[in-house]
Amino acid sequence: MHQTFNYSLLTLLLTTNLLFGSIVANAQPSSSETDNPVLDKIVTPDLERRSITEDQLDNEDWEIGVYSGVLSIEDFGSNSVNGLRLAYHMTEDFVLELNYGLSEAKESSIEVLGGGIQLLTDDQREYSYYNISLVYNIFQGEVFMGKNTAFNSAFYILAGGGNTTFNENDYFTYTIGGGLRFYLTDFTALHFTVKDHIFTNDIIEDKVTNNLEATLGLSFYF
Amino acid sequence: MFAFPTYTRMDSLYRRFFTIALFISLLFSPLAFAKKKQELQVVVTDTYISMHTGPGRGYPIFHVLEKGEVITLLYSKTDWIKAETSKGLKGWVHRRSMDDTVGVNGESVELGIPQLGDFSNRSWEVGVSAGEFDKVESLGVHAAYRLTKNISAELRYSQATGRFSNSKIVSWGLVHQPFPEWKISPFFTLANGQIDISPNNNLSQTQDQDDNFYLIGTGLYYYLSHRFMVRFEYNNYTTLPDRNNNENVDEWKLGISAFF
Repeated sequence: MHQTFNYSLLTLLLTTNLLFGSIVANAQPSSSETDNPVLDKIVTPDLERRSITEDQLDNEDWEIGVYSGVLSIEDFGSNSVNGLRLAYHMTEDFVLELNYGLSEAKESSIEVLGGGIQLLTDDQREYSYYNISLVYNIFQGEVFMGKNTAFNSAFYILAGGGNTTFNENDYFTYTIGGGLRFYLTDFTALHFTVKDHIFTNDIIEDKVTNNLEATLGLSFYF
Repeated sequence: MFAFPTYTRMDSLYRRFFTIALFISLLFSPLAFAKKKQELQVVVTDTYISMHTGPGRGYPIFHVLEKGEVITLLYSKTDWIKAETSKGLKGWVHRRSMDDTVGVNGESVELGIPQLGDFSNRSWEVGVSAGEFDKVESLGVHAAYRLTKNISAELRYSQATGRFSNSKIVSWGLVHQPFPEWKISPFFTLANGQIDISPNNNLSQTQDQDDNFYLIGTGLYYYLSHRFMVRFEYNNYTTLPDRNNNENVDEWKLGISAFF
């Protein structure tokens, strides 16, 4: 009974796929206007009614950057971290941000003090993460240097989710944080960001770990 | 702080990291440097336009453009456009203030904020979402191309990370949206795909598993503003682990989509 149902549904799917495939493939542009190109050239006046549209204006809504700093992996010391940032500025207030970062855990206190105890192998110490965060520019403004130079800036808060690979395992991870975005020009910005990556693991005991990260980054807008 | 670790076992990871970085930069560098050369000049026909020091409503107004003044539009950031006056003064004007300008040769200016009407005329949609797959937290991305007014072809990827196993799910299929012009608009999904389940390392007895599935789903789009929608959906997966038996898995997701 189940079998028949499965296959009929799969057939339905396939048919729909084929049906729409053929519709798309057979769609032809209408050819009513381009019948006589020579005559069109003579008759159509040279006055072109143009309009200024989005395509002609460059937007600087995308941001790409690198960052570097310190990641404190709970129980496993403070470690250097390097990452990539890709962000899309949706409105003047909201930004969607994708991060990918790499670090490596040091030995925990147990391993340092406990003689021959080794909790993790070298491969298991590799720490990498990705996350998608929604960023809110809570305090936007200008900061000034001396009398004549002012820079635009924004203090932001963020929250998101992602995945951490540590102990050769994947952990679903919540990320919260905040930072300062300091615009050097309209196309470059410096970031100072502090984040907490929260996930549950059972490496030492089954518990929620807070992994604090402080980084300095440079971004470009395009 | 900026020194990379010298451990050799990290080398492969870092090589991958920089390959990704290089790839992304190669992908985007033509976009970043191919600045458009043509000058976009418009005439202010409104009584006045305020010019701000930054691309945000709170940045101070430092100049007021008068009616009849010709300005050059340089580039935009979200709802703001960087403009230059004939005297070389540069500042940010809001897109809404462009509604009442015309080009120097009488062209109409269409630089407004995207509206719900444009939403039903979209051709691309991309989005991210978070939710639960089989009672496990999941994160996903999707991209869709509109084939007809109501039907889109969609590709999805998501990762569900649980305590005992980790699933990577790829699917492709069709999304039918009967009323794309509604502010709250329902949609229906029919898709198939593949799920790759790998167990956590402390449960090494179980094997990696690849399953095919098809899914039936439904959901709602809620139009926010600009080019953004909130998307809520529920999917029912039927996986086919072996010939004699199938499994049903529930998934729900809440996400945000942008149309282009």
